[in-house]
Amino acid sequence: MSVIVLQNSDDRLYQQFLSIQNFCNQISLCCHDEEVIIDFSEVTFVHPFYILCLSAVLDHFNTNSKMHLRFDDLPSSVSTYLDLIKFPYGLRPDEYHDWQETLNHYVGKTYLPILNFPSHYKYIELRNSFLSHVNHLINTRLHPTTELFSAISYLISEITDNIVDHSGVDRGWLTVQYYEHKSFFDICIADSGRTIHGSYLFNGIVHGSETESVVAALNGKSTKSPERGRGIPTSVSMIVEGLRGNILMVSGGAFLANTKIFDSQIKLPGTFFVLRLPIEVSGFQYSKYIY
Amino acid sequence: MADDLKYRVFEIAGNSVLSRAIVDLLFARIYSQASQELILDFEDVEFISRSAAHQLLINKKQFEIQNSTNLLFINLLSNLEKTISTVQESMRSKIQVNPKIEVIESEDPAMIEELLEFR
Repeated sequence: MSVIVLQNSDDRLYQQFLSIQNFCNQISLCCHDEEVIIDFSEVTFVHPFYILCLSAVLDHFNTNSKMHLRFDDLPSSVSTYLDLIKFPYGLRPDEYHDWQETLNHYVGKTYLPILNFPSHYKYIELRNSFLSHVNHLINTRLHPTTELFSAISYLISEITDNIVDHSGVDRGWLTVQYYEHKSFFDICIADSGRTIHGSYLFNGIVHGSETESVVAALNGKSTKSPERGRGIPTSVSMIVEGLRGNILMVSGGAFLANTKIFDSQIKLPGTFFVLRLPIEVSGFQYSKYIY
Repeated sequence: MADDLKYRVFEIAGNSVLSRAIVDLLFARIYSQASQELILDFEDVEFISRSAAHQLLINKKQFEIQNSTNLLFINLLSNLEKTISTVQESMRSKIQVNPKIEVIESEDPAMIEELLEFR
């Protein structure tokens, strides 16, 4: 069976989500143990967020129903880029001992490869070390102010920590792309796990819809304890109000665009974030947003 | 102060303390020698996340009660100090300020793209 990857010609985020949905619809029809050809023949250019999501989605469907994936007839421009960003499996620090050296090769580039980190408890130190190094590379490449660097580190740590604590899956996904001429950069973080709604259900908390669950999360309602749950609301405030950036999140069928949320036609197997942040911010005070 | 009463956070967490789990691991490795004081040395640590700072304060309190020991933090960069004190204050006040979220009914692609246009 062939699954066609649609071409997205621009970096508009909602359009990319529609294409990811299209990909999910196709691959969900594939059967266990089937040979599946991922067809990139229509693609001349891919955006990192799009390809990160495809990696996470492929991993989800391949985990649940073992398929034999093939990537035939890749256009050469796309093939080179996909190799560089390590599509579809990503750079896995638990499987690749020279990960630090590999990551250092990207220090002069405007992107990082797909980073696929383990979420299991036994990898605490490795994961911390891996994500610290990612922060270091971002700092080296972008030269953000101290306040912006704190924000970047904070956002990556809070969202990845949520994957570890709540998603119920073995791995999380992360990449970063710097649009130098547009003066912004995208941090893309994904997991193919329970979703926010699923995490509440897993902990015996029932909301009427996926949107209601995301609203609860944005109001700081934790599945763990009343003192927790600050990660998502503080992150949204920090991005939208503090940094004047954009946050887009899809968790199952709940879609958050900055501070607006709705039940979406887009339904994805997991939780997918894009944080679009300016490279220069004036008047931003990090500590104001972590209260 | 004897070296075995001081623990370097950098040796376990590196330059960034990014999760509750790494804080728990840090505390699993410190050992009270029935002293009146233990020190966590944050030299070379450049960042601590809010979640990690929250876990640090929770674990500090539990550790001090269980071991009748004072646990001190030293060599904190100013941004770490600020994070820890901000989290401590929020724990005391129990005030939560959340973003104002609007639930909308329709999914209009043009509206969504406009919303997400970079400002």
